[in-house]
Amino acid sequence: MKKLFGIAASAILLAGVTTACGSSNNGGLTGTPAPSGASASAESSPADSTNDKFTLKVIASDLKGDGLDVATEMFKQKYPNAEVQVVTGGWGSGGQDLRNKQLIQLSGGESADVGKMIWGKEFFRSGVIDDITDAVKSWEIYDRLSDGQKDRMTLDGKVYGVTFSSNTVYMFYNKDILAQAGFTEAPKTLDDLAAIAKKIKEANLQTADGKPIYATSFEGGNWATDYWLWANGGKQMTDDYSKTLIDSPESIQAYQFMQDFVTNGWAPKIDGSYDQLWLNGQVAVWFCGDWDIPATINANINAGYAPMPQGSSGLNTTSVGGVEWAVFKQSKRKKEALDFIEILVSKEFQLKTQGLTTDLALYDDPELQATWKADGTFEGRMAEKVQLQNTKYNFLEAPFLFPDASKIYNAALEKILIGGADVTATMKEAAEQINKGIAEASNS
Amino acid sequence: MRLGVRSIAVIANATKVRKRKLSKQGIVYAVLTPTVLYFALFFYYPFFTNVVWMFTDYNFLNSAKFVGLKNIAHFFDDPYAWKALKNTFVITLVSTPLTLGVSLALAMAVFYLKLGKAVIRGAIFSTYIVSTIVAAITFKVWFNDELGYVNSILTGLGLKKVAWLTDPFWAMVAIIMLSVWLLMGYFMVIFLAGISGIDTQQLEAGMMDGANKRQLFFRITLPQLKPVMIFSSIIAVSIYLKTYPSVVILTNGGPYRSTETILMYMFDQGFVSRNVGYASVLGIVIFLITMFISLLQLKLTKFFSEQGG
Repeated sequence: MKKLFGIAASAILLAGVTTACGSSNNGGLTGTPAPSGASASAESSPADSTNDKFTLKVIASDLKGDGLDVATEMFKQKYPNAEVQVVTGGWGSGGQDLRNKQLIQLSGGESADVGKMIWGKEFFRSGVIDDITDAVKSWEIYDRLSDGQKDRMTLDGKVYGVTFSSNTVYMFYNKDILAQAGFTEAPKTLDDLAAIAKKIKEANLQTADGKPIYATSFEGGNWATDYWLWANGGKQMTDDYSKTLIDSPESIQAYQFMQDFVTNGWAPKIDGSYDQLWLNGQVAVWFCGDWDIPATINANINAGYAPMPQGSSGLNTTSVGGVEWAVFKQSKRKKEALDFIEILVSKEFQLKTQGLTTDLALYDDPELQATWKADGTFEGRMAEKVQLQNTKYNFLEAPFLFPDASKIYNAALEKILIGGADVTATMKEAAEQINKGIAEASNS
Repeated sequence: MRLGVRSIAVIANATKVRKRKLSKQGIVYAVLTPTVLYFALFFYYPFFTNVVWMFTDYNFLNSAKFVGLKNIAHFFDDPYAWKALKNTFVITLVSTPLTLGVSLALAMAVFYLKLGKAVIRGAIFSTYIVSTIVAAITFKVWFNDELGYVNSILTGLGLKKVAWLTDPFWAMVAIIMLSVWLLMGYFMVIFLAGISGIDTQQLEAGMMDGANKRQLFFRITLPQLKPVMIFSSIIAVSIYLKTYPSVVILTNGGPYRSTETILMYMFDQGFVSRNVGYASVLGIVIFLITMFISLLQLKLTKFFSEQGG
């Protein structure tokens, strides 16, 4: 009996392991890569009838936050018998939780029809989402998207996703601190900001409860802080993303400018306090987005909002944010999936959700403006409207060729802004590692 | 051949005994089977799958490609892996004796308490019940450089602020403090149980012979706690070798990856970089190290027990 039991247990184990080896989409040793992206517009559901009963699966981070309840209602007007099944995955760690969920779904051979992501370039290169160029370029909204927005959703000239709820960082400034330092206007250039910083330091300005006041802060990760690099003439990558330029003379100069702010005591070291210093009234100028306006209002900060100051290059470029919606290659409802995505960027949807704005023209819509005036975000939104015209895609936010690049780059930024390490040596070392990784990834 | 009444009774009895044995065995197998299946499905199957993936280039999205020893060779020249291992060993080798020392001290103090014993014991044990994530977030607030309570207390006492989370050394200290805090309640209870089992006659004999408290502790109490100490050290080492959520929340491996542990690095390689083959190598390395250390501790246990007689 014992022998039989032992044999049965071993057989179960063996069967399990060989199943893992044999499955072609689940780590099997077949050595066959999945086919690369092909156009999705021609492939669609077998029947074209809108009365079909079917389920459209959407994987996102938040049903209400992404407006999917509104989108579902609108979708059912065209497809009355359709069900929209939303699988949520949380947006922890900059979307990594949702990305992990999508990876596990895909590796298990099952995927949604529509997915929310900022890793679209990576997935498109791996052939798991569709080329939707033909469909998207025919949409009305396409021509009104900015270059930065189009950059987010394109790879090698092909559109793989549709950008959604675009945002960026802009300048929040504390009017009371500026007044104490003798300034009546927000800084228009980074030299103005440096002058404000000197004054704050010389006057040893403090809050009412004795906490130190800083000119600005570098919290927020490289997506927020790469503005400093671009404004001062530096560059992250070459135009074809094949090589990093974080060790170029211009980039080094830009990083040195940032390090000097910390060395001079004009900005604190990054310690994970994120926006708390701003909300405590300890920061004169804070670069953030509309997601921090409600907290700013609640903290009774006498805040103003404006586009970013210009750097020595004359630019004030910031990273373009938002997400993309893509159609998974395994979807059997591609036409319906595209229709769902089109709803998410439609004027009607954006007006109903009053905040998930993709079409920059809607910033001038009186109805939306009235809503923003009522909730106190109008001034910030108007600053964002101007700033969104000067945005670009941030490769090192979600590097699709060599994912480790983001971690290497952020560690290098921390070394120079926290550890006070030599800027040139640190960035050269990081650039070598990133370029080596990109070269290996491109050749594999 | 005709069977006598006695023979029939013997055979009937033997059959009853055999049926009882089979029924007992059946119950045993029925109880064990779900457990065996659970371990097979959630421990052994993933383990053996990892061993297979070690020799492949697999990224979740495409089929795995056999690459031989490439991932294993990469481990030996990967500076980030060795740094992460070093950090993990530092956390383990410092936290383990510290945790056991603190827990033993707390156990001795609680054991000899006259008033409020249950309340204080419960309060200290509650540190073990608190979720690691909640504890790590709380420590992050306490040890924040600019806004933390600890630095407020230090500056209030006229001392300088400490760069708890922005200096590699102090960040490691903060992680070790959190690690000790999380487990001291658990080991205190284990030591309390051990202390309760100490032969009080030996203690009384020692006292009559004029031994002071220090001598009683080191010559009588501690030797009798040796089995508990060894058991606790094995558990503590295997827990600390897998330090992960506390570091992710408190420092996220920073500043500049100076506190990244091997489990963090493994998770990043597997899910962020989608380098599943290499992540599997790191997983097997962690397993081998844990197994080696546990075996070493068991050998030492046997050695010291034989020595002690």
